[in-house]
Amino acid sequence: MKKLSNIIKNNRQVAVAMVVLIAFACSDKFLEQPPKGSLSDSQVANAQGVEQVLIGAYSALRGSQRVPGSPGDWAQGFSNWVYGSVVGHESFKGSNSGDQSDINSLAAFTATATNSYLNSQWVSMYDGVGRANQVLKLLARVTDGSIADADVKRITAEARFLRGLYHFEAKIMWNMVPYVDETIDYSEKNYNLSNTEDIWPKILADFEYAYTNLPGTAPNIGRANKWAAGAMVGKTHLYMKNFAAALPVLTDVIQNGTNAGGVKYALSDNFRETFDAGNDNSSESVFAVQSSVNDGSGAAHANPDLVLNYPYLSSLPVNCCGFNQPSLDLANSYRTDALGLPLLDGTYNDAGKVLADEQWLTPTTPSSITPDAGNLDPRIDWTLGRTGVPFFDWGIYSGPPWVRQLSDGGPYMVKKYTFPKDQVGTYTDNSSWTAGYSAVNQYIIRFADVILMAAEAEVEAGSLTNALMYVNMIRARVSDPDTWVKISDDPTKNDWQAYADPTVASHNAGKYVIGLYPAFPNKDYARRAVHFERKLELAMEGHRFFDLVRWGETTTDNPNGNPVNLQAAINHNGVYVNLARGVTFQKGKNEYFPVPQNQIDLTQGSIKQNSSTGGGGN
Amino acid sequence: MKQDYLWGRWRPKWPLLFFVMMWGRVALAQDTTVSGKVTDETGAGMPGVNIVVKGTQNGTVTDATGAYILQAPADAVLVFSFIGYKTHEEPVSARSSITVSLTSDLVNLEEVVVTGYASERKQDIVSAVSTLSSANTVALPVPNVEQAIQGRVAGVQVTTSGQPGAPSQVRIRGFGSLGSNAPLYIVDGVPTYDVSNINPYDIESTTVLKDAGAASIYGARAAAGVVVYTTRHGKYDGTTRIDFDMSTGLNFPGKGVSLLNPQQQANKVYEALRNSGASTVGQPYGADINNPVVPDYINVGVQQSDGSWKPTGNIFAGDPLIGLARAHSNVSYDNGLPIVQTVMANKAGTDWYKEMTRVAPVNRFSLGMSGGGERAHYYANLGYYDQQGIALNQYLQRYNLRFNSEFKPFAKLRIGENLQLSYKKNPTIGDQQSENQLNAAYRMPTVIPVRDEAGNWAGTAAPGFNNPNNPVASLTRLNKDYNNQNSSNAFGNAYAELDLIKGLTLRSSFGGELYYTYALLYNPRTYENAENSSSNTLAEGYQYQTRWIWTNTARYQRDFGANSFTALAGYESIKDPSYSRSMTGFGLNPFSSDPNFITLTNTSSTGRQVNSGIPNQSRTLASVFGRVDYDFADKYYISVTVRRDASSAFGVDNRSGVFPAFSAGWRIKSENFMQAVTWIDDLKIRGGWGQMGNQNISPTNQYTLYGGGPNNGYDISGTNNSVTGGIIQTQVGNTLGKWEKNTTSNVGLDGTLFNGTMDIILEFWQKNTEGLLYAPNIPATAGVFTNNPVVNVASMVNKGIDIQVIERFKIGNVQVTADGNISPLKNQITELAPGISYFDAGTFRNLTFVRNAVGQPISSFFGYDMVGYFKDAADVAASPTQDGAAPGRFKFRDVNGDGVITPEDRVFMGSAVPKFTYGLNLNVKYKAFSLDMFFYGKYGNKIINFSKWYNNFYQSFSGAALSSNTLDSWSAEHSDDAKTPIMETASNFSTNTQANTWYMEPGSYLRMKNIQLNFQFPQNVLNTLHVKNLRAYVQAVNLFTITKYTGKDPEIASSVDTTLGVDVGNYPATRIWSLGLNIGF
Repeated sequence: MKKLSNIIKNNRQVAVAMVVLIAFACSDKFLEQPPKGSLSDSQVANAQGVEQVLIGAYSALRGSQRVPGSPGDWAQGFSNWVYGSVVGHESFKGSNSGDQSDINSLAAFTATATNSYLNSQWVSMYDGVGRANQVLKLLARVTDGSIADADVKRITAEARFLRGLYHFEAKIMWNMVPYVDETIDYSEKNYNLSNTEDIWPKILADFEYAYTNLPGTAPNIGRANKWAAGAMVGKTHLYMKNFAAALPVLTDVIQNGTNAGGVKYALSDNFRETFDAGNDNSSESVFAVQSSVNDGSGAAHANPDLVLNYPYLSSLPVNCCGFNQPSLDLANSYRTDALGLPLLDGTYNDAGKVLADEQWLTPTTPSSITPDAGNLDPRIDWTLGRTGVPFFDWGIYSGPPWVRQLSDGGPYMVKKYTFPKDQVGTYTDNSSWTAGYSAVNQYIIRFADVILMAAEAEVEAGSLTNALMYVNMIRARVSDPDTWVKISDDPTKNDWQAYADPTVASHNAGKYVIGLYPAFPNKDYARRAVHFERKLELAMEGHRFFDLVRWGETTTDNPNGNPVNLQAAINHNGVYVNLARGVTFQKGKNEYFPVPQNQIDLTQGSIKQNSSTGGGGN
Repeated sequence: MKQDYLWGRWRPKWPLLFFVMMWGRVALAQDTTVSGKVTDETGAGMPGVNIVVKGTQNGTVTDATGAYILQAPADAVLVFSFIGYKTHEEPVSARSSITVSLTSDLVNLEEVVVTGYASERKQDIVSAVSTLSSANTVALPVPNVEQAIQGRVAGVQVTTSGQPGAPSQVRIRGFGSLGSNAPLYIVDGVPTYDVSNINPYDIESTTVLKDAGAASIYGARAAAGVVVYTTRHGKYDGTTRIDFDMSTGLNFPGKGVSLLNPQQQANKVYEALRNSGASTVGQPYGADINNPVVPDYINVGVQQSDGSWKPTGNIFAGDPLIGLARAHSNVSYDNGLPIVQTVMANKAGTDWYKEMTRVAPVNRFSLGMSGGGERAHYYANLGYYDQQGIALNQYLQRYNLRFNSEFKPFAKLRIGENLQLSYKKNPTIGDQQSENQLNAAYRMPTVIPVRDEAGNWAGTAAPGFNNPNNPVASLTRLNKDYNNQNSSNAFGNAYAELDLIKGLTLRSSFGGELYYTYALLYNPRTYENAENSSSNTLAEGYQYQTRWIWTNTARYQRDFGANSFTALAGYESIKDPSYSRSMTGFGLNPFSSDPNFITLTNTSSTGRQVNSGIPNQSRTLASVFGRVDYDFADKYYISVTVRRDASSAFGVDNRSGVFPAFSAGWRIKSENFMQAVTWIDDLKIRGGWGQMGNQNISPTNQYTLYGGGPNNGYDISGTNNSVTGGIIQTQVGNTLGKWEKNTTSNVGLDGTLFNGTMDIILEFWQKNTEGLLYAPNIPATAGVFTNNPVVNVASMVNKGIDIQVIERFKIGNVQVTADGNISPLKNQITELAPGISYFDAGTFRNLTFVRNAVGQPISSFFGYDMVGYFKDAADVAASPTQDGAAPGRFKFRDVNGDGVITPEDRVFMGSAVPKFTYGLNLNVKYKAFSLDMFFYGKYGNKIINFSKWYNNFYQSFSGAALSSNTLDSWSAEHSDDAKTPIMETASNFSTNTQANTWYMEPGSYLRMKNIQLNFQFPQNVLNTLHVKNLRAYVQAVNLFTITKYTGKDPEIASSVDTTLGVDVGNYPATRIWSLGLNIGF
């Protein structure tokens, strides 16, 4: 080493160079590589950052996409087409039986805690909760007064509304779920929460805070306002069976409510247009998932959870993938009597009353059928595709060729939330793998829902007269023949043009007979009428299973003695469609879904399985 | 003449003249003239043998006949060396004519092995190091150098898909990490994780550093092992070489997928429907509901009452609808007319695999030139590689240019550079584990023809056949105008070396890489499928990256009597990448699909997306390292290595890690008492212990980050076509993250026996990874992040034995060399995170097959144990309760005996990690002929043949293709040996929705990777042609594979180690026949 030091002495330049290099190699600055393409904590803890993080919390309404092992976008979000419609047996999974087979066991009430759909939805909802809490956490860190007090209040209330909403969805899916507030943080390691407490009061508190603190008019039409919060307060009360408490707030929303743009709540004139992207955020929109297309996100906000739910015929503008086919029971429910009233006694599934389309499913399937000629509620033909009725401007729906596998999904196809051909490219996004990405908003609550909830509360805790008035409001809207599906009688105009233009010669696509209830003779009748009206009006909007569980109308011996119940629907559906065959709803076990095993394991058991489901069978 | 000093002089056509001229220059050193001839064992003259006067740089090379002439002092010693032969030293002893005969030696103890930052004599190495000869590097006509390691190095697993250009997964001594287990490659001192651009002909040496003793000098990045490559160089000896190598061959796709023919398919569809009590009406097979008939037409456009046109199946010849459809035939979306096709059934059956594949050429050429004078040497090579894939329109074309040179302006200073430029075009099909076009070959019904009557594509637009896409159409559309995947790359370094004082050499090297890639994909809108795309789309993207490394070392070597010391010290700075940027764009419906027109700008303004980003965050590393090797009398060896790395990937408190290693060896043969044991030529016992690190985590792991982008925005203003920007928390920082430490121990034995005819290398090793960097899943209540924080929690153990035996013998004039290796491996996850015992992966179509669990090997298969099919109703009643149980369906084992089949009854079914891998290289030499045979195999692994899910069940995709396995489907009469369950429509727990052992197959295989017959042209021919060397060969790659696996190929590539061995759309290894030629001037 002596020699080496001599060398260094004798070669000053070398020595200097070496020192410089060593210093460089060890320099802390060299080892600090700032993250690129991202923002740090401090960059977002300000007025603008908080607002954008709040937008990020709204963004999760579409169903977060970041679930490892997720079957896809269709497993998560607020449309509830799987958990509300398919599991509620108002629709079949559709496609063919092996496709997205995890839905089969959900609908058969045999799903286990390892079902991939359940974890997807769980993670999606708690992602939303986490994003809402992030807003509150950041807000607390902005202490320089740069956010006006009114904005602090509004932002807090919006975040709490969203937090309540995401929890609400989890609550109705699993019942016993953990409540996560802004004190829970990864870095605090306090996230292994339990689910032993009924969180309805906490959800209610979030909505009530928002109801109290939010303005009626919001800076943007897509935001939660006072009245959206009020509607959720009412809905929460209904789920808690506090009908008396629900009544005043729902009444307040109906009488005084406006949408976030300040337009007074009212039913749209036209039932179909309620589900048209061109009519988003109308007077009927209380709170909706705002959908958009061609926005640079690659269709991320274009109802990614609904893209499988279109007819299958390859010549159609969208030919994927034949999921979410309305059930036989649902279609038959639209049968009306001579007065135009639904068959509340459940006889619509009886021979002679069922829709003609069921002939497709007889053992010797005919090559053609005569379209149904009986009395029908006109809403049927905006809700589902059936034989002989134009599917907007896509052509006349003709049953089997439009479905993927008749024996697995029946002859119908969902029509609500789909779009006419003339909206392709304007209200649809063609940048992804399939053409069913659309701009139509998904309602979380629409005004008709509020009215029917109010009707329900009136039946249980108020006046039957008011309930009657509310139900008839809903029915009156669809009594206008101009809003019914038309078939053109003018050879120069197609059916869609005939519908759009009343001056074109045309006739109704079905024998539509709809009438108002003359009276509700008793509470029991009123209750059945209100429940049935929800079935018809809100069909294919993801409410059905949750309503049935809430009402207890799951089995034929239900407490309300209602012949219209889940098991009755399954029994009829199962006559023809194999996925419903032999399916039995077990009371006390199948009301809620199993908590995902993955989440139980990850929290090291602090989250418990629903005792009722035992982890097997939702 | 100055120029001559720098470049030497070369005249390839008259090499002898050149040598004479060189000799003239060397002759300045006076002395006597020595001439003679060098021969091999058979007495044939050996061209190109290096001869130097020991202790000097004076020397020469033998000419084409093996003759040489040089000047040397009368008391000098001449050293004769040639690769593959034992180096021979011969004293001149005042003779003027010296003829020597060299003996071949595949394992040359004097052989110098390039290791970390240095090179060592093989006999001095006491750590786990394996080398690969340059002949092996180019043995197979494959593009990637790392593929050459497969089967030739004990302890290394290499898995390669058949897709041209696909990088292999190289796993050295098991799987240490749950993240990337890719080894670090060092090419001429420059680290990289991608060697796919290197021309195999440029490789001089390949060294695999397997244990810490060898690899921990690369500390931070060495945990998964290191492969050190050096590229070819010229020599300061005045020689000049020109080498031309080429091979040309054909790739054969092999047999495809065995599917039912159209009539069998129709029968099975009816059987499934009938078994389920469903109507057969409406199926595209005639009008008789009991006897299916394949129709003449499967898709005829028929006009409906509302004016629209609808594809209609089940039409027979003579139907007037056919004529109407022909008259309206149209497949264009641009003219506003409906899509109308007329598609005849292919009653003979379409072989989709055959249609989508081809016999494709494989060509490679390499033209190299090297030379040098006293003050400079150089190596230049131009390489071209072209492999057309067996699947239509995908290929690898690569151009390589290498230029390596070194200058010696002063005796003690060397300045040099290594530079590689490459350009490659490599359009590929989808991911190996995705439903790519190869997967479609399992799913397309044979009744569908490739094209319709008018020559347009046919497909599942024909009703009744479910949704697979026509793979011939999709591959054909991906032609070279519409599918570009190009990259350019410059890689290399420049260095200076100074011999400062005796024994001390200082070296500084600056190296790096520039990388640029561009991709274009134009997808025309489809019409022939059940589920068609809705637009013509154009995607374009590019990425640019640079990285650099600066390494400075001092190496000191000194012998004191019998004590020999080598010391190395160095420091290194790395920035990887130094700069990184990507841009991608996506647009719809350009006005014209003319490839000369389509650009992003020319796409529709609606729906256009443009993004730019930083694909790779900069990561810096500052390191100091040192190594001391000591040996006493070539008998006792000790080697100590230590490296300290500081990485930007970790927070300031845990930034640096120290990685020590110790090795020791005892060369027993050098002991006196061994001298009498003549059958042992050499015997060495060695052992080592050391630690290596891993920093393969996101360099931003320590930071809490937020991200924006349109996905996190929201259309808060209800515009329907735009989003307001939103921000979400994308990750939570883990400031406590630190180095993953990998502790290895290695005990080895090297022996050469029986007069050099047998070599044995035996190594026992264990590798423990602790504080393994891993991002455990976290409960959703903690928040849901794009990137879960990576923490040091998991641990894993790998144990194994690396055995290599080389045996050489002669039968008459036939010389045989057998070189075999076998590598047993045991891998086990020993810890994941506190309270977390597993995580699942590998979900395909709602079936999850893989569980990575404590106590199990990585990527273990998990599911129900299928014990048979339910025989009848009585069997169902007598068996444990199982959801969906019915005769002919899967019967699962009630593992916990509670009388009901629940998720608790799932078991670990098997593992994708082989119990051992093995390779055997046989070389048989007879006169001018030699035959090489190379076998490779894996034993004891399992494969999930997920392709069975698609076509062994009617209900998975009703109407799509069915496998010929279903001819043996369950029925009451044919129950016990049924290959598939009962044909039916129900999809439930007992049919096709659960991962279970029915999908699992043995993955063991033995493959003849290569058989090659070489002919070395005799000397007289070479003389006539004025060439030094001429060899021709014919070879067959992947000639046969012995396996029980029923899928296309048991070599299943996977992009991640946590989902190994699931076959979804695996690109099979293909058989290649080729002819080759090497010429040396």
